[in-house]
Amino acid sequence: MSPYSFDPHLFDELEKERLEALSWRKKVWLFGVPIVAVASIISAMFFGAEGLIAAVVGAGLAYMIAEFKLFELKERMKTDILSHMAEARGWNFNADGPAESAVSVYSDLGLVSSHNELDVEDLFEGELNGVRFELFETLAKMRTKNRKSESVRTVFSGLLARFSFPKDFQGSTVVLTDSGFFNWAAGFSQKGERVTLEDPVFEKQFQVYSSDQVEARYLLTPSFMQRLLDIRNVFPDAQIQAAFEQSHLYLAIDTKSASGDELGFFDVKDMSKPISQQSAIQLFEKELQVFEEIVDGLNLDASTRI
Amino acid sequence: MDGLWIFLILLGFVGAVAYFLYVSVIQKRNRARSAFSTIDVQLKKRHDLIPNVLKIAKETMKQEMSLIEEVTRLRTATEAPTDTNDPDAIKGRLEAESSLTQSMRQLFAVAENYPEPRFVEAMKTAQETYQEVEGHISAARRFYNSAVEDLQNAVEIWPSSTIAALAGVKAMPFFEIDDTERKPVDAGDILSG
Repeated sequence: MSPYSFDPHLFDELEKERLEALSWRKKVWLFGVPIVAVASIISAMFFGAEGLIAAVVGAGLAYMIAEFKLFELKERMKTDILSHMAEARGWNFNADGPAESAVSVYSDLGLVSSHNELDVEDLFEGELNGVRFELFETLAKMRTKNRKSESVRTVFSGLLARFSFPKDFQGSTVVLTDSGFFNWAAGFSQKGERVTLEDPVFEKQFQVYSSDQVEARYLLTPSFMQRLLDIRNVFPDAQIQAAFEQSHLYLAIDTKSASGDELGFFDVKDMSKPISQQSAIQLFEKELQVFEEIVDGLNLDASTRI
Repeated sequence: MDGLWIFLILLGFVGAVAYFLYVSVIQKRNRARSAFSTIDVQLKKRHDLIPNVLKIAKETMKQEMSLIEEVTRLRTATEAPTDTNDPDAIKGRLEAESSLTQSMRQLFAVAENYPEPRFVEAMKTAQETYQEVEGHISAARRFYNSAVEDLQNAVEIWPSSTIAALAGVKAMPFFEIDDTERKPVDAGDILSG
């Protein structure tokens, strides 16, 4: 059970609005559908094909009118719930996310591949186990065009986190997911040289590059390597990558294979259920707990060596 | 004439391969030496810390004079410069450093049994600083062992082993952790002994 429980009446107002929005949708469908149907028949009779196009546009408009309130409320519900959850933990929450430029450091470090379309949201900031952090959700895509076609590829969809420490690291150390035969390609884009570590299981899953061989081993202790491996148990299908630079640890959890092309975390998925039974609350809580477990597991205590 | 050309091309090819192997072996040896220098820097930091720890210990741990003297002796023994061309000298130095590590761990473990608040506080601070340096030594040791492993492979696996033998390049010793070092120190054992 979560240590952060909620007052069941905290979201009464939202629940009232949810019921109103559902009722509004019902009414629009109840009256809108017959009106659009009749209007379509009449316009088709009088104006032929053009009338049919007008009817389709009308149907689209009716749909938007019916769903508008629920869409708007869905976003507000998410913001309210996550704000309360963040507040209970002494954190800040911003549904709009950080400035897009916040992703550039992750790109520079090779944790997020090259992209030309970016969407960020749901920024959490605060302190966990004595370590300052920021966590946000990111969707990065690469749109490529040639004369004949255009294609869009999702290069990253998941969580980015940054932890700040009271001391600077001398070099830059990057832990990338092992790409097998293609590891050499990753090596080209990295500043430092390959660091070969003693743990064969870790070496199979990750490849490490660093501008400081000794510091890389100072940071990637056997227990820290094990903890990074453990994160894979939490997100078995995700690509976990990390980097140490200056006084920060950067963590990138790419779940694009699981979440498809959309931002998959911290979303209200079902508006038909009462808020008290909202799976979203449990889901958000679970997602935040997973993050807390990761930080616990990494043992990022400011008073320790890292 | 054709035969001479083929011979010259083959000779050139063999010469090029031998040169690249030579470069690789020497690079590996230099990398291992450089890694040893990194350890040396960290060990020097530890040596510089030890007198302060001993100063604190001497004031309170009067019954542990033999342990304090042992630490002092080992510190002095490890202070002499090490010839990085001589694997045996490196081995001796690393073994002495391991003994010093073990003695320091014993010292800190025994110190935990002295309840004087001022001493406990001073020892705690000293131990935290010491452990920070130990963390760096451990990282340097892992880098050194990785470099030594690469060198050892080059020295032992043909064809680079032949080039290494001709160039007089020898394997360097690993900086290993003693079994006793891997185990937690039991202060009870030390005190009763």
